[in-house]
Amino acid sequence: MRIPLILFLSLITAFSLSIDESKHLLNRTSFGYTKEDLQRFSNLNKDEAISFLINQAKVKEVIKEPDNIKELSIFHGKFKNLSNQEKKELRKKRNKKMQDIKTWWHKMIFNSEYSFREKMTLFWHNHFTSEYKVVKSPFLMYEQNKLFRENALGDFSDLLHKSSQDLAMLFYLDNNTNKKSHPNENYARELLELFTLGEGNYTEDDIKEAARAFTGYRVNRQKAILKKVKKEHDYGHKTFMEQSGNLDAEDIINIILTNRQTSKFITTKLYKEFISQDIDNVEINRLSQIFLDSKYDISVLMKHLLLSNNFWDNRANMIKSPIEMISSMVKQLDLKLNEKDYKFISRYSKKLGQELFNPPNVKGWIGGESWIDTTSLSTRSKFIEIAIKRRINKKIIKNYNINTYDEFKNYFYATNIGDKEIFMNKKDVYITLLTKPIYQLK
Amino acid sequence: MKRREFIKISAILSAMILLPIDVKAKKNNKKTLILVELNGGNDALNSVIPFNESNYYNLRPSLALKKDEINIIEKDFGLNKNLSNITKLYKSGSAAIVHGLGYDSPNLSHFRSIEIVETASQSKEYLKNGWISSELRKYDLNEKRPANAMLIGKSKKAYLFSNDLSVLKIKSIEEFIRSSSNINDNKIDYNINRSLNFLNKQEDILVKANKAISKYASNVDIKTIFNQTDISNDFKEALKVIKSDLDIPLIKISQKGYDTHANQMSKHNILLKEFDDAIGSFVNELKEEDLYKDVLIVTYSEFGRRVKENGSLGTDHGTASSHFVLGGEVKGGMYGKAPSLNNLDKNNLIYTTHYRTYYNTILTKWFGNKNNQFNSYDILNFL
Repeated sequence: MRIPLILFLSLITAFSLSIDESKHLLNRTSFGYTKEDLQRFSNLNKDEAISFLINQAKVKEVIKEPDNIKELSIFHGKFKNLSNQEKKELRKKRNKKMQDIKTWWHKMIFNSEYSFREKMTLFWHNHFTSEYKVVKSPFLMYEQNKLFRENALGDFSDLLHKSSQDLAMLFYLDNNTNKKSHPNENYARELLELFTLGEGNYTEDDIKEAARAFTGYRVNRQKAILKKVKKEHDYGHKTFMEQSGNLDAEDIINIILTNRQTSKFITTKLYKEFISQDIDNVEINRLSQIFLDSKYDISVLMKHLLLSNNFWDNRANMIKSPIEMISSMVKQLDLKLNEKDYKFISRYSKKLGQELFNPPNVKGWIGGESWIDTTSLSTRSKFIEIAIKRRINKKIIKNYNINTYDEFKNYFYATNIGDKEIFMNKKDVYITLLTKPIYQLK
Repeated sequence: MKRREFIKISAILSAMILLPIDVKAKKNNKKTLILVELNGGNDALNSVIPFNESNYYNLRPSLALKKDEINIIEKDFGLNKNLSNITKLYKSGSAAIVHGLGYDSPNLSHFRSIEIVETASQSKEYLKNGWISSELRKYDLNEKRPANAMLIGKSKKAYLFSNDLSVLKIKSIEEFIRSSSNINDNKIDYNINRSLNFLNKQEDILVKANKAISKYASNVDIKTIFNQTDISNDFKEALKVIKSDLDIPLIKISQKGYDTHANQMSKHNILLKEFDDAIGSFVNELKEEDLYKDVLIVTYSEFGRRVKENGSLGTDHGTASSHFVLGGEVKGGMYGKAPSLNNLDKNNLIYTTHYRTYYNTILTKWFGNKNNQFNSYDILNFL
């Protein structure tokens, strides 16, 4: 039975992608698509398309980083010793640097060569959350972002270990002040609840014991490195998830990684991000077993997830995130952006509820219907209207080469509104059609 | 219950029974409940301070407030000095403090606990609807009521409402009118899938609300000066809605930042001060306009904080906490028994007043619904 099954599978994946399939794949994995993207993917079958994306995402190359990121980090003396005027100036400079880093990330998100890698980078940013508002250092946020990018499709156990030692994370969840005499539970709790096992799969005692194991790790502000302060670290006997000993941070994470629930939890989150907010337990079990068997290889899990029938069956039934909405506009309409535009885009993505480097809280953005309320929906329309009015002209519209509603619908998600009318290649028509709710779907 | 109270309550009840169906009701018949979520888990022990408890000082060597940082309001309790307006309201009899709110088998996750508190579920039970959903469902929508409830500022729908309710979210009235004016009604492509239906419904609410708000709330004058903080801005917008002819029975406001794991003292004091300033301005104008009796302000949090401080000059997640109820109809004072500081569960308070008691009181006495789903729980006398 094995051979016919493989034959059968290779037959169904052998066909090239239809235009709707390409749109679906790129909307879900790559922040939308350009005309060229659709053309490129129309020559690939599912297997090839997904391998292409995964290989592309493993590329290390980045757009050149902003200059002097480190210069304005928090490592130059103590903030509280500054005068009010100096504090104000430092804040201003930091915020400017942070904006440069946001712009840099936006550029890679909008660039199809990097989009899938950046989608995964954003996924991990939203998983191992930190807020610039709390961390206050552009440099540390940048370093954390680099960690997510470099491990975006790598080994999850590596990523988890490294995230626990990430300096922004140490500040964000107060582990930097976690000490033996009075442990601070903040990091230990979120590690179990939000990063690995999920609520309900540990006890309050597990949190207390894990918090003890994480005591004594401190950020050396001068050198921007992690150090272990022995007198603050609890070397005592601990019992965590039924294992006992002089457990340290690494041991705690290794115990977590042997728990089957970790694989399920991460798989569920990826399923919700890429396939549907309604989870399918049979699929979660299957995919999380694959993840476990691969020793937490994220690229293996993603490959199987994107090849699954559920992925291809759930089309145009999720709501784009603000970044996806903005990016799909930029890509589809081939908008040429200048530096100021990126500031405008950062401002709007914040208004719409998804400011890069500033998730709303440690749980991150929930996604799905939570993106939309009356304020955000009208703001999305406003953004689309402004973008088209300011950045599109007759010549650009002509280049789209869209002459009928059918052609329009082939390229965008659009309503049936004008089937019987003659299509007018005009800005107003684009505004009317793209501000319809259906364009918010992916 | 005293006879006088009974008559008063019956009068309110009969007024309220008329309210939802009487569109042309006089302005002063309109009632607004304002739920204020102190997001992150407010440290109630440093808000309402049991200053005679020795364990308060033993367990909080660096965080316990000193006598001169407390406004004494009762023999054993004082309010954080930053709550100066609430202190005044307490002394003049329109502020109630409800002690020890919580539930059984407390969950210490922010995200799960707020779900339990907002849906009034059991600790291990998952419910789809918020505790107030079925009450709001009784309010038919009309020209002056484009939605059953309103979220102002950064507050989220979270778990308070059921999906069938219309919930309007605005940042400010001015901005809402400006940004929603170009939205057209769009009833095409219904029923393709759930996400699109949901988007279409939001657009419907948007169109109706734009009409209602432009017509009834675009020119409301505010006389009082509000501070330039998020919470003050939110209360200012709420005041505009209340002073207008719009009739929305529930407004939710959230104040973020109460998750004070480290360096709590100054952060927490600033939050309380900002909250108190907002309340001060808001209540001031309500009183001048004779609207204070038509408004009820109720605070809640996912949990309180650990009694014992941690080593970061902060407090970790805890359990029970005290909350505030303010309004012209409120009978000021302390309600419920304050949790003991000598009998703790892993350094956490053991709750004394169930959240469902809180909700039963509000549903029975503010909404006049004594047959609500929590009516087997106690009723407190703060209304």
